[in-house]
Amino acid sequence: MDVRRTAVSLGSIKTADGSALAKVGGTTVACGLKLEVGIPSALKPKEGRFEVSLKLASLCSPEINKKSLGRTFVGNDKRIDAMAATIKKTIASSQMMNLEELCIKEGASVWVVYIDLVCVDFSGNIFDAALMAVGGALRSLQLPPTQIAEDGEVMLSREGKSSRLTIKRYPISISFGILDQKHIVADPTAEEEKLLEGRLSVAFTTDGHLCLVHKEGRESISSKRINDCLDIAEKYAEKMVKKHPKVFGFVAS
Amino acid sequence: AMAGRGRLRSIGCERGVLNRADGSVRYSQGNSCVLVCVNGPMRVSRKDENIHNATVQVFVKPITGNEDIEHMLMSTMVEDCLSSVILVKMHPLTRIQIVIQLLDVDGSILSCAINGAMMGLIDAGIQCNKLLAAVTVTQLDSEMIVDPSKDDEKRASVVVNLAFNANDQQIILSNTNGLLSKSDYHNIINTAQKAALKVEKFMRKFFESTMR
Repeated sequence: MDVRRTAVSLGSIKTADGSALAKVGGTTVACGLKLEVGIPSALKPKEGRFEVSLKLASLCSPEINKKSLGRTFVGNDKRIDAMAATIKKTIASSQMMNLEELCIKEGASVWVVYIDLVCVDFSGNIFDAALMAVGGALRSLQLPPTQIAEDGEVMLSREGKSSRLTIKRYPISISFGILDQKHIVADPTAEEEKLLEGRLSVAFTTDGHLCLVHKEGRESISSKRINDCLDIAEKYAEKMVKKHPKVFGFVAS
Repeated sequence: AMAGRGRLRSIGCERGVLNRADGSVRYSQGNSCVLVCVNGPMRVSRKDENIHNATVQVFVKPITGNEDIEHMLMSTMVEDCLSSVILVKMHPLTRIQIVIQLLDVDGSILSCAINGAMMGLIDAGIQCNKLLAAVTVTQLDSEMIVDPSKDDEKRASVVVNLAFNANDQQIILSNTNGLLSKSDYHNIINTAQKAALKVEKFMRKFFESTMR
């Protein structure tokens, strides 16, 4: 059960408010964060929001527009949107950030974080790379200082320092491809993904909680096999904290 | 507010609701209700066709407004579940279309949609190799609620959707929300498997008593 080599770099996109680039083997996903001022929901007047979008760039794979890519779990728009929704739910489930830190003025203005993910190189298993990229980007996010004008409009102020989000924990996922009952592959490559009929993504947080068990696809799997995968995913999350301490390790604030 | 409920809410079903569809069912679990319309095998467009298998297409329509990414996720999850039971090799170069119209959302809507779609397939006479049953379970502290309502889901810290193959209790779909531990997940699976047996029993009893 080997996962390919991973790499994460923070702050690669200077025009974005936060960014990161994550690689799992050859699969490369870039994440850019853009902040906009929005109105909070009436039920949660002190909380900001975030939206996730995922795209496959045309240059990510020579098969991008071919039907063969559409047969796999990525390639057609619905599957990609579904993956973006799963990433959003994983971030929300993990409770990695305190949305109240995005509040500018309670009940009136909050920051809305637009998390844009783009896969620039497709070698199978976008999900894991995308989730790492989001974690890195949120770590590098700088909230600019603001002041509120008389008419209530929020403006960037020249004084005051940018602040960072307090990130309690990071979700770290490992995806398995299910070929049949006996054969489960960790971190499938693009060639392997074409043959797979089932996928299981498991995410543990860096402090040991389980935050995602997402099984999709046609092949079914026994609960015993899922438990085996959970054990592997738990160890993997611990390993990743040690491997990328600058991204997933703790920062004394 | 019930503390830890292991029982499903009452299940309701009516078949043959739409005149022009190959199969249709109005299915409800408690107050959550869906209308499922199944058509197929029918003609497929060039870009969707598959020379080995029928193409299964699922559309989830919300009560109001357009579909957003949550509904896209829901429809891919239902599509995967149904693709695993339908004998797609029997109808290559065709498609089987399932439209799930949400009528009332009061919790457990994903499992309601999957169960409703399963019943819609049987009404349409689409050959399937097994029955599948879906269950939603929530957990708050150490109390589990099976087939939660909307309020139960809001209060809970963990919401898990599971779909099982009725023959061998294998898991076809798993989807979790919230932070949990490995043993929590294991307990939730055990609870859900028992509840899924009851759903399957309802499905069999319903079709045996409404043969037309």
